[in-house]
Amino acid sequence: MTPVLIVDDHSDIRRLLSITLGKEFEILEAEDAVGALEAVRRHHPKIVLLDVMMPGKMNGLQVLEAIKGNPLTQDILVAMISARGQVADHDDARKRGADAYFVKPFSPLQVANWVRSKAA
Amino acid sequence: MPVGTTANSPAPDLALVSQRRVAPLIWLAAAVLILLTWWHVLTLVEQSRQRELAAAEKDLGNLTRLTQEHAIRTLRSADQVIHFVQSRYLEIGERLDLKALTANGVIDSEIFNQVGIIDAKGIYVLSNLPIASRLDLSDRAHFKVHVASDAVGLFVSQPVLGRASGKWSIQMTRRITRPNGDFGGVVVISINPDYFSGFYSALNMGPKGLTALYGVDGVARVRKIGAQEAYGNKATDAAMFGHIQRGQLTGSYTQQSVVDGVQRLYYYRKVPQYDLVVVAGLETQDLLANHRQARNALLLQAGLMTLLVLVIMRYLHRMRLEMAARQHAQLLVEDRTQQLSAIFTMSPDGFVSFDPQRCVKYVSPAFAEMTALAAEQLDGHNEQDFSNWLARRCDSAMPFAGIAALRAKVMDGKPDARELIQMAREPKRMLQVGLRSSESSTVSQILYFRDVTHEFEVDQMKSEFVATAAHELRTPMQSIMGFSEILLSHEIEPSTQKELLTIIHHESGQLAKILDELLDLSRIEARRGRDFRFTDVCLQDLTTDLVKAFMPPAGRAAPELLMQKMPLHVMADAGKLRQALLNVLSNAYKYSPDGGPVVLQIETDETGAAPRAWIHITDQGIGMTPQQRDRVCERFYRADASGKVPGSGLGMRIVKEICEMHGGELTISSNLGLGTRVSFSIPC
Repeated sequence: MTPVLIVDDHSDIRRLLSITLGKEFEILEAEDAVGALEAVRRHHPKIVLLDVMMPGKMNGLQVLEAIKGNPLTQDILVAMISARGQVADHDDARKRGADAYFVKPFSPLQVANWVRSKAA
Repeated sequence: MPVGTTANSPAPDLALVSQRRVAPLIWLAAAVLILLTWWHVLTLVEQSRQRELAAAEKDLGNLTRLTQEHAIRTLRSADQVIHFVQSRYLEIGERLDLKALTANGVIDSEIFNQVGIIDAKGIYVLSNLPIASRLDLSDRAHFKVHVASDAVGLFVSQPVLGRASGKWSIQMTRRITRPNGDFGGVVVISINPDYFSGFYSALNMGPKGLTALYGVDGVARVRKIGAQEAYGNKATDAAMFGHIQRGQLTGSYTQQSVVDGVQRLYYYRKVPQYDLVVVAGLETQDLLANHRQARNALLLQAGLMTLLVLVIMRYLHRMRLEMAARQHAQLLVEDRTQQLSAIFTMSPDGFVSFDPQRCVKYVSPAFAEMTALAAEQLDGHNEQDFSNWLARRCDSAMPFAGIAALRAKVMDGKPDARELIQMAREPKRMLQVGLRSSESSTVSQILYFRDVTHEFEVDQMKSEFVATAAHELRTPMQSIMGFSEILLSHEIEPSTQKELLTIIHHESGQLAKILDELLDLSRIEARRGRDFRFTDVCLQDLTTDLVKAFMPPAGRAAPELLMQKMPLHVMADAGKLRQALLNVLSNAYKYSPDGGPVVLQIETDETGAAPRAWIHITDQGIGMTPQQRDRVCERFYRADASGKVPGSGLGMRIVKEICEMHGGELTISSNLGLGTRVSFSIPC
C-alpha cells in the first residue's frame, strides 16, 4: 500500500483523513513539523497531506520547503491543507513547491480523489 | 527659513490700548490750544478796545478842560462887563450910554450880542443896540429870578430867542441893588451861543462828535454835533447829571445819546462856580474804528489758527485711524501666523511646501521628526533632491517613488494622490505620503505625511485575527463537514458512526461558542454598557451559584470558594458579571491541564479612595510570560499559539470590557509554569 503521511495538530482532522484514506493507503500521522520531517525521513511516503498552521517553531510551509529542498525527498507529492483560503496564500504555497492546496473545510472525498490520482 | 518658529510680537494689544488712551488726550490738547488761542486773542481785542477807549477818554478829558477854560473865561469876561455896567448904572442911571461905551471899546463887545438894563419894573430901558420901544421883559426868568433877592448872583439863562435881538442868545443877568437895598433892575448880557459853537467847531470833533455846554438843569446852552448846532434841548436823562448830583464833578461814561440815539464816549466837567457842565463825546463806533480793524485782523488770525489746528487734528486723527487699521491688520496677520505656526508645530502630520519653482519652502517640525531630515538641509532644494534624500531614508520594502511619480498619479485624475512608505530607521514608521497641487502664487504643491504606523499595526492585527478567527471557525467546521460527508458516503460501523457523530456534535458546540463570544464582544463594545442592567447583587450568592453550576473538565475538582461571611453587595449586571467570571474560571481550567486547584476568592478593599470588592481567580497552570500577560486582553490574542487549547482569543477581552463597564479594574499576575491570578474589582 502506498504510504500517505497526514500532518495536522488537530487529532480530529487526522482521524477524518485516516478514515477516508485508511482502506486504500498506508496512513502515517504526525502532529507537528518535527514529527512530520522525522516520518518523511524514515518512511519516505509518496504523498504528504500537510497542515499550514501548526504549533512549534516550524509551520507547514517551512516543512514543505524542507521536503522540496531536499533532493532525497523532493519527489514526494505534498498537498497543503490550510484555513487560509486567500489567493496569496495559495500562490505562496505553489511557489514553494506544493502540488495541491486544500482549504478547510475541505471535502475528504475530493482529497481522497486527488491522493488516488497521484498514487496511481 | 523659519521652521516651526514664531516671531514674538511686542504686546500689540497694549499698543492698541495705549493708542485708544492717547486719542482723547490729543483731542483735549487741541481743544485747549484752540481755547487758549481764543482766550489770548479776545484778551488782546479787549485790551486794544480798552486802550482805544482810554486814549479817547484822555483826549476828551483834555478837550473838555479846554472847553471848560473857554466857558470860564467867557463867563468871567461877561460878568466883568455886567459888573461894570451895574456900577455905572447905579452911578448915572439911564444916562448911561451903552452904545457909546461899546462903540468906543470901553466895553468889549466881542463875546456878546447885546448888553442892556431892565429896570425894576421889567422894562428893557437901556441897550447898546437900538431898541424900538420899551420892551417889557418882566415875565422872563432871567428877570424874575432876581426880583426877590440878590442870592442868585450871576444867572445864566437857558437859550432864548431874543425879543430884542431876534437871535438865539444866552442871557446872563445880575441884580441891580440900590444903595438902600431896593431892587433896581437887572443888567443883562445876551451872549451869542455861536461864540461857543464857533469855538467848538474849531475842535474838529468829526461828523458825529459832540461838544456841548449844559446847565446842571439838563438843558443845553450850546450843543454842537458835527456841523449841527442846537440850543435849549433837554437832556436830563444823560448820565452825567446823575453823576454831578452825586458829587462826581468830572468823569466819563458811555451812553446812547438821549438826543440822537448815537452811542458815544462822553467826558464831562462841571464848570466851577457856575451851574454849567461842559461835555464832549465821540461816537464809540468811530473812535473804535482802528480797534475794529485790529480786532478783525486778530479774529481772522485766531480763526485761521483754529482752522489750522483742526486740519492738523483731522490729519492726525486720520493717521491714527490708518495706523490703528495697520496695527489691527498686522495683529491679524501675526495672530494668523501664530495660529498656523502652532497648528504646524503641534500637528502630528508633517508638511512640506514648495515654491513656484518647486523648491522646498517650508518644512514642518513633524516632518523633520518623522524622517530625521532637518529643515535646514532641505531649504531651497529642488524636488528631485528632496525625493532622493527621502528615498534614501526609506526601507527598501516600502520605498519612496518620488514626487514626480506622485504627481503623475495626480495627473491621472487623482487629485489627492497618496502612497505608503516605511522609514528605514527604528521604529520603522509607516508614513502615508500625499501630494496636493496648489493654484497659489507662492506655493506650487504641498506634500503631507501622516504617521500610520499604528493604523498599519491595527490592520495587521485585524488581518491576523481574521486569519485566526477563520482558522478557529474552519477547524470545527472541517470536522462537521468532513465527518458528515464520510458518514454519508461511506459504510461505517455503528460504533464508529456514534464516535463520529459525537465529534460532530462537540465541534458544533465549539463553533456556536466562538460565534457567541464574537457576538458578545461586538455587542458590548458597540453599546458601551448601555444595555447593562445594574441591580444590587450579593457577591457571595452570585459566586456560590456560579460555582455550583460550573462544570469543571472531567477529572477536575470544582473551584474552591474563599469568602467572608458578611454579605458583600455591589451594583452590577448579574448576567454580565457571571459571564465574565465564567470566562476567567474556564481559562483557569483550560490553562492548568495538569490539574491543581482553582480558587475563587472574594474580599473587600478599603485602602483606596472608595471601598471596592475584589474577586480573585487563581490557578496553578502553565502561566504566562510578562509579554503574554500584557497582551492577553487584546482582541483575538491567544496566549497559547499551539491551537490545542480551544478558544477564540476573545474571552479575556470580554472580561476586561465587562469589568470596565462596572467601573472596576482588571489585574492579572502570572508566572510562567506556576499559574495565573486574575483579579476583578467592583466598587461597593
